[in-house]
Amino acid sequence: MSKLLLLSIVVGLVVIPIWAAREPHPLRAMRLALLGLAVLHVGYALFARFVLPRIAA
Amino acid sequence: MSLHQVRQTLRISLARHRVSGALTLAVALATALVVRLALPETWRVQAEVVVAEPATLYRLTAPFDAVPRLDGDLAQLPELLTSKARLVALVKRTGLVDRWAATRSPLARLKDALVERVRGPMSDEDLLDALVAMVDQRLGVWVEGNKVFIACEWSDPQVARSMVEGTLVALQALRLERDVGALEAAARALDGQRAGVEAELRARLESVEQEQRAARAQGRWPNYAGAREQLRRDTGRASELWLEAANTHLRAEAMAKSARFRTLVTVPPRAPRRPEGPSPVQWALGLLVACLSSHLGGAVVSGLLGKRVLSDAQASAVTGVPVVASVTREWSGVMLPIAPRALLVVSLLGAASGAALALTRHPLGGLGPWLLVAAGWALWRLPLKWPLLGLLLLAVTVDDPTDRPYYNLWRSPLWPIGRVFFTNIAWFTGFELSLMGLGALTLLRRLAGRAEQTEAPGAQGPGPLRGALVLSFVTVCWLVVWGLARGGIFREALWQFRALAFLPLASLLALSAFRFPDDLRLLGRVLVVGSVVKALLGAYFMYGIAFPSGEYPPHTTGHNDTMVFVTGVVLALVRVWEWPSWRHLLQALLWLPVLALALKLNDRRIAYVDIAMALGFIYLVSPMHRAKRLLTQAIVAMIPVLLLYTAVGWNARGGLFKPVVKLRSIVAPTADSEEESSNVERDIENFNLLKSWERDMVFGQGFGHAFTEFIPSNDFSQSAFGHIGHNSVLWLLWIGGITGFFGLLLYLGLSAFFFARTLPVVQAPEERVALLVSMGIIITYLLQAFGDMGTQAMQLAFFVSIAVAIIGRLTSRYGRWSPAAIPLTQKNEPMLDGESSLA
Repeated sequence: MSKLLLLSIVVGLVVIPIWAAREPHPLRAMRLALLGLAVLHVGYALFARFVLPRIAA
Repeated sequence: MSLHQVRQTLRISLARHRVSGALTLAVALATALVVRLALPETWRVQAEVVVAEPATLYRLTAPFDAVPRLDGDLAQLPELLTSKARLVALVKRTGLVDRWAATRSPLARLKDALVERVRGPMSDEDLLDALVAMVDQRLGVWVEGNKVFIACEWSDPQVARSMVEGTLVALQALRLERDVGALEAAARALDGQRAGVEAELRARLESVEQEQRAARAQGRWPNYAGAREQLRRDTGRASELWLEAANTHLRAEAMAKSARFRTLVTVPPRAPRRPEGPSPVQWALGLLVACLSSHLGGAVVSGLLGKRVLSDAQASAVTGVPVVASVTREWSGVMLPIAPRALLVVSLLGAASGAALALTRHPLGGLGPWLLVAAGWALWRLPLKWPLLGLLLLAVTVDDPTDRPYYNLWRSPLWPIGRVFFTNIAWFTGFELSLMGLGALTLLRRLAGRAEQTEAPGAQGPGPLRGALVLSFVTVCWLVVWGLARGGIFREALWQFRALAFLPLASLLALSAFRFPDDLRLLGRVLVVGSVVKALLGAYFMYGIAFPSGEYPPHTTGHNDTMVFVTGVVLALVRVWEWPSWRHLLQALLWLPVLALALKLNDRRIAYVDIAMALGFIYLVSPMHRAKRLLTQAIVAMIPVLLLYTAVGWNARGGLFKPVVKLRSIVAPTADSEEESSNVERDIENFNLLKSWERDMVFGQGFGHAFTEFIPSNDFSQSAFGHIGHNSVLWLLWIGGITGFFGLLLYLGLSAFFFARTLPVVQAPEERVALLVSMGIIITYLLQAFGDMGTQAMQLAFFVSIAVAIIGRLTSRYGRWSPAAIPLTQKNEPMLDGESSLA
């Protein structure tokens, strides 16, 4: 389970931009993709720092 | 340039620039003769020794001891025999310090005199150091099987022979010490133990006698207090020790007496009859080749530098009128005056040709500078895609010596090329240096205004994608500086960042070089050639070399080859999926068995995960069509059967259930299996990486550091002692923090973004296949990065760079990065390259 969660950043790196690309306007789509990726990175860091140790324990 | 033009240029150059040609010839001849006379001769002496293990003696004298392994000991011999202490002894033993001045050539003496005038006379210690360094360079010791070769090249044949003889003596002494020294030491220790026991024995006897005397005088029974039992035990122990020591002495003696039979000199060092290098006939031939090539090269270079009309094509370019007929002059034609600039250039090239002949001592050595000039000229004019395709072909076909090809049991014919391209030459590998060279060449050609002729026309990908690639490179540079500023070691950093730094460069080059869909077929052919060559070589090694000689290596091809095979499988299947035709089906049926063999020989579980994930992704993003509907229905119908098959075969060992066994080894390996142990090791490493990352989660540690081993692993050396993580994703997070990771891999996210924007509007099946396979490559790369050091292999990086280029170029082609882009739901025709896009 924790290994799958660790993999989430790899999945997010591909899925979030593909999801953002659905927005018709390219600049808005790009902004959405960059924002999504930034949120993914911050969220992953928080997950690795606070959540993962509890799951692993 | 056509053959006719080449002939015309050669003919006219030779006719009009005879003086330049003759002068170049003269310079080449003079340089070759001067360098030949000035350079000292080299004499080579070589000896060959067959070393045998005294297995019989070991078994006869000590049947219960393990026989030492010969290969391990032999592997250390070159290092032992060329250690500094031994080289100093060798120089002193051969009296090289005294003989040194007499063996110098006139040119070397002149150099010595000049150096002495500037720096003053050299002290004996400095001379000894210099000679030791020289011997270190010129004395070679290497091992092949059970043979040891010793060779020395020197300017004096007697010195060369003395060096080899001295090393031979040292080798025999080392072997004797290794076979006999330990036994004699053991025998001496046993003698010492026996002497101690005997001394105790005597002391105890004396005390017994004293007690007897005292008891007799006092009229009582003697009280020995267990001394008699101790005496009995000591007597037995002394006898055992004596026997053991005598046996060990005998073994040492037997080893010493038989030593000369175990280091058998099969080729003794003899003074050579003639120096190294070509024979007089070869010399004459070499001079002829150098002179002819210099004459021709001098004339042609003069002609090209003179900018005079040499061919019909030039005439047409100058006049703007096509040449319809020409008058052929006789050989004596019009001669042109010599231009000083051209004269200087051809003289230098002629001198280089002569020097190359004398220095390389090869009959064709004189051709070298002219070939280099021709290659440089061709590279300057060649479109960028050809050298890039050449590099891709090398990446997918040749062996990477750092990846343990063929389990290091065999070297394929492609191994020497692989050694040049994948091992360090000057800080970087040949492959990396080639990429750097191509980058510099592209920059120079742009500055010289030749980009249009050598790069693919049209927009070179969307601006944000190119920006993300530049950002990735800048982030690598920043993390190197950041890491070194925090106490990192550059030597370690170099290993960590090189593939990451070259990936953006290769991607930018590929974006400039290729035009899609025109070049897709070429890329596909390279992939087919690479995968087939690897599979056939692997099969030959396994069934023709390894099995017959009793070796059963678990894999043949290396880790980096997985990407070739996975991409091949995905390409073969996606072509049928997106572009169904009998031809593509037949091609897939021919190619897939070869790829299946290659995957079997590659023996990596992650390859099957990569294929499943890439195909699963392609299935998900494909629109619903007939084939997808049929496949979906088939999968739904097969689910109960598949579940039953998996459940029945869960505890099976192979046979019909081999796929289930493979699946279980990935998902839930059995306890105490190799896979389970590997998974545990990786879990420990991941924990250590995550804990190390906690120190600076935003900016990371930078390159040049090792992660901390909070929980010790069984084999820390597998991660280069913490410098490389198997899980490249966590490893990069530790190195760069979330900011560095974002900067490093943003281009992959943006590639997925542009893929998703472009795919829905692409109708041409070959472009759809290219886009889907490119995304499959990116997914494979990310999974390899998560699973097993995917970011560290240059071959993988090169594949990703091609995938990024395909996505970027097709995005520009369809104008998908444009504020005016048509909504995604509407199918549109491709725009002209880059038209009205932001790229």
